[in-house]
Amino acid sequence: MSHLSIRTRLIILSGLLLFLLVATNLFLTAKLENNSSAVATETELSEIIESATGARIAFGEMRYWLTDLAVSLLTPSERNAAAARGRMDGYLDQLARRKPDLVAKVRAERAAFEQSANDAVDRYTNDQRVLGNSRLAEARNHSVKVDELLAALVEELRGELNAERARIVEEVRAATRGAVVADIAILILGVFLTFAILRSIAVPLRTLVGAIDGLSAGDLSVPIPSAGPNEIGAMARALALFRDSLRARDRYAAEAETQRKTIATAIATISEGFVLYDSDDRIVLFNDQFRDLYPGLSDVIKQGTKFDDVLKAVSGRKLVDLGGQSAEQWIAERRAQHEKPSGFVEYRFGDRYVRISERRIQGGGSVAVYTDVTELRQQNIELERAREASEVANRTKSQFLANMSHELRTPLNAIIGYSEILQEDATENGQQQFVPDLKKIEGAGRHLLGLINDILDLSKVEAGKMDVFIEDIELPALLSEVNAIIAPLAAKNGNILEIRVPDAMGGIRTDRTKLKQCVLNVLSNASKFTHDGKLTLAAERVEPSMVRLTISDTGIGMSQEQLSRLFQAFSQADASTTKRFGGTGLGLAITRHFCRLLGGDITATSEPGRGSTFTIVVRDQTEEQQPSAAAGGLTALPAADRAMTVLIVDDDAASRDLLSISLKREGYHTVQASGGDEALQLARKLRPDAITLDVLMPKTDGWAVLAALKGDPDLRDVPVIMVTIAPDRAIGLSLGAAEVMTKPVDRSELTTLLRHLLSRDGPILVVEDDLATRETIRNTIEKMGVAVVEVTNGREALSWLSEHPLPALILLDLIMPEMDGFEFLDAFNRNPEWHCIPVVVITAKQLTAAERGLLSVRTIIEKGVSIDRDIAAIVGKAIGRLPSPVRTAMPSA
Amino acid sequence: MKKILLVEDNEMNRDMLSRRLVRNGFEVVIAIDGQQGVAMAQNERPDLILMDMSLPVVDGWEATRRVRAGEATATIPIIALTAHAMSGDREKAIEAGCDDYDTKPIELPRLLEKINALLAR
Repeated sequence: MSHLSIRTRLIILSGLLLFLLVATNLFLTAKLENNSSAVATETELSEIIESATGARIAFGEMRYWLTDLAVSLLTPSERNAAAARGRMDGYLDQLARRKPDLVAKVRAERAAFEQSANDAVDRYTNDQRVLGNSRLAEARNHSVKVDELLAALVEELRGELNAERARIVEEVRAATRGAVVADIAILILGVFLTFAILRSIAVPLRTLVGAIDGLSAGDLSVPIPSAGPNEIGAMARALALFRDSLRARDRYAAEAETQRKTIATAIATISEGFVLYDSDDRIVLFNDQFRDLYPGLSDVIKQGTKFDDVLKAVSGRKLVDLGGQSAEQWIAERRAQHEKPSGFVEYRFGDRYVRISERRIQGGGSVAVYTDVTELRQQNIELERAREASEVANRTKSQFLANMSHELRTPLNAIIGYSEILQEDATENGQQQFVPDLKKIEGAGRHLLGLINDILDLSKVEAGKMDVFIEDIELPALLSEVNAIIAPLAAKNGNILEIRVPDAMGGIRTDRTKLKQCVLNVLSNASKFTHDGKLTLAAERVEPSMVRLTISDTGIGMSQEQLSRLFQAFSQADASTTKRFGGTGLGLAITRHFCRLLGGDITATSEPGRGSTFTIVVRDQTEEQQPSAAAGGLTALPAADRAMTVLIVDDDAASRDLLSISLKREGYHTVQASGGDEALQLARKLRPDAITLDVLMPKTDGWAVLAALKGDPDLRDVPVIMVTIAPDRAIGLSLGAAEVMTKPVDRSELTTLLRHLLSRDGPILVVEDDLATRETIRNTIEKMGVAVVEVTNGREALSWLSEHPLPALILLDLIMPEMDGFEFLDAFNRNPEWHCIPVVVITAKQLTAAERGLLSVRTIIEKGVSIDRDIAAIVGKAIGRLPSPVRTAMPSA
Repeated sequence: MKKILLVEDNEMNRDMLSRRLVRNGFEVVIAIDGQQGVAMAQNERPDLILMDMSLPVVDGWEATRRVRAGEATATIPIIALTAHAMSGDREKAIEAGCDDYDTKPIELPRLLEKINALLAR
């Protein structure tokens, strides 16, 4: 029954009742039909009885007239008798239909009577009175017989009529009883059916009503009857949906509450003072640290206080050092900073220095973070003093070294010079025996001079005071000078020196003296450590702007361990080599410094016993480098041909699947993680192109995952889209999220955002005021086949960004005129459209901890000799040209 | 006999170099600072000047410029002597008007080559 719809049940019920009604009616009609036939029979009997009575009366008349005829012999009597006889016959005919035997008897008896009577008439007519009388007597006998017969007939018919009547009465009674019984049965059946069907409807309805009452009362655990295929089922399903949505609402509310509490706890726990103002500039939220900044101001520091009133109270009660300004000036300054925050400000509150960083919030309002920088300030002052002291010391040291080397060199020159003169004199005067000793003095002097020169060079390089003089030089000419110096050295150990320079090499622009010194250093080493072998110097142009000099020998070689210390100052491959082979142990260290100063480097490979190969690379700084030619010389790297992978992190499988389906439809690979730890593992393994991250998850929540991702150098550039119930966009973005989206996620919004985040078509925006650095960067990037846009300060960068499609990457210098990198980032961070653009900071500045903090999670490249390689790596990553092998082994999730 | 003006403040350097130059057949006149060097160039009209760069009173670069500025001395070849082959010293010397330069400690054969080359010009 329960599977039938209520409509069907009611149709069945009324159908049954109608059927019973019709059946009863048919039954009663049949009974009535019976009765009416019985009544007809009865009527017929009554008529027959009348006929019999009529016949008796007619016979009586007939007898009278016949008797009369017999007496009177009158013709009218005879006519009357005949008429009576005719009437009687009519009656008898009617009776004959029902009682033919009796009628026959009557007719026979009447005939006998008539005969007797007619006989008597004849007798009387013939005056045979006696005979007539006897005949008449006979006739009277017959007539009595007829009368008796008719009387008996009437009597019999009356009996029949009575019997019939009794039968009818009985039948009517039976019918009445039957009808009563049927009615009672129908009533009982109807009541039962109605009850049963009503029950089948009412019971589940009652349960549903109970469930509704429970839900209204807030009890979400009430059971809801299992859903059948009928209307109740539909109601139950609707109710279950309603309950589920209530549960979801409750869960969301709980999640939101948890999140709110988490944030509140976080705000309460941070060591900085925190305050949030609404768009009316009234305090919404603050932590104890903020309140504690203003002792005795607890009446003002409360929810709803206007920012202005706080300022007035703070300045009016002299809680802050106004720095010589009037209270009004200070308030105006503070207000300006508050309304248009840039960077931070510092004030002294009592004996504490406090740094205030403010940010406007999207949609009005602002947050301010108050950091106690008293210690930091103190440390900074100490650091500054230490730095000054060390600079003074460094200057002193450099001066000392310069003086020393001059002072040392002067007597050395004398020693060397006079020992030479003495050698000449001795030769001239025939005193040859003194020459070897004088040579030793000269040699020792020259060695000492070399040492002093090297130390001076090294200290200059390390102090950053080594000047570089770039000029046009002819490499073949330079190398032939080298040959002139090295050839005798090489010959001394029985070595062959071979120098190969291609004719097409032409001129290069570099520091002649330093390049020569580098080559001489390496070649003189090679001569020293090679006996009866071969030294080779081969020059070639490896890139349009790079020249490589490869110097190989077939000497004693070095072990891996020796190689690793090769370019360190005062470290020859073996401490004993200094004794065996001479040298200061500074040559290669200086050589490396020089090579790097010349925009290149020196590297070495070696095999013990087989020889060594040193490779010197220097930049040809010819000004008119043609970038197009440079780019043409390289094969353009193929664009990464692969689907982007999105890692979906959510503890709810249904949410994950939904996102996955819509992202797959857009052509993304998707990988799912159900928790924070799994997400981090997968992210490290698969390096996804983007991550969607649910905030509320058991164990590790979304914020923690975000922090871990942003803390991982390999993953911090992966854009993360936070998905949350109660989005706090400002906090999310400040923690490094690329975007914060509200749950449930609008899928088209998400895919649009992803396309935006993962587009790699734009140029690379270089924000750098220094022309030389800009050129280095541009050359590097253009060689990768990527367009470069150059601007010289933050303001230009902002205006370029607002007028052009998004760039693939921004390379940002920090120290620039007009608007520096910090100010630029501040403005940049406030435009949510730009959050997906990775920013890489390039700086020569020694960053303080505070500055690193301001840069938050940016990749930082330090300016130096390897800047081009660093930039190539970063750019490669940003434009997706360096797909790591794990990506191609991506599981098709 | 060619006359060489040696401008050198260090006594021992002066002594060594002058003795060796004399031994190689030159007449040597001496000045001990830049100012004196410029004056000697005017008075002595040497065939060639060997000019130390770090000199008292007037340094070698300035002295060179002054010699070049003097009408009578403008064409006298000058070889700069620098203490150490530091980049820049050579450039600065050439810029000031020197014809060549050599580094101390003096390697006499190399210096003689340069002197002879300039005198032969």
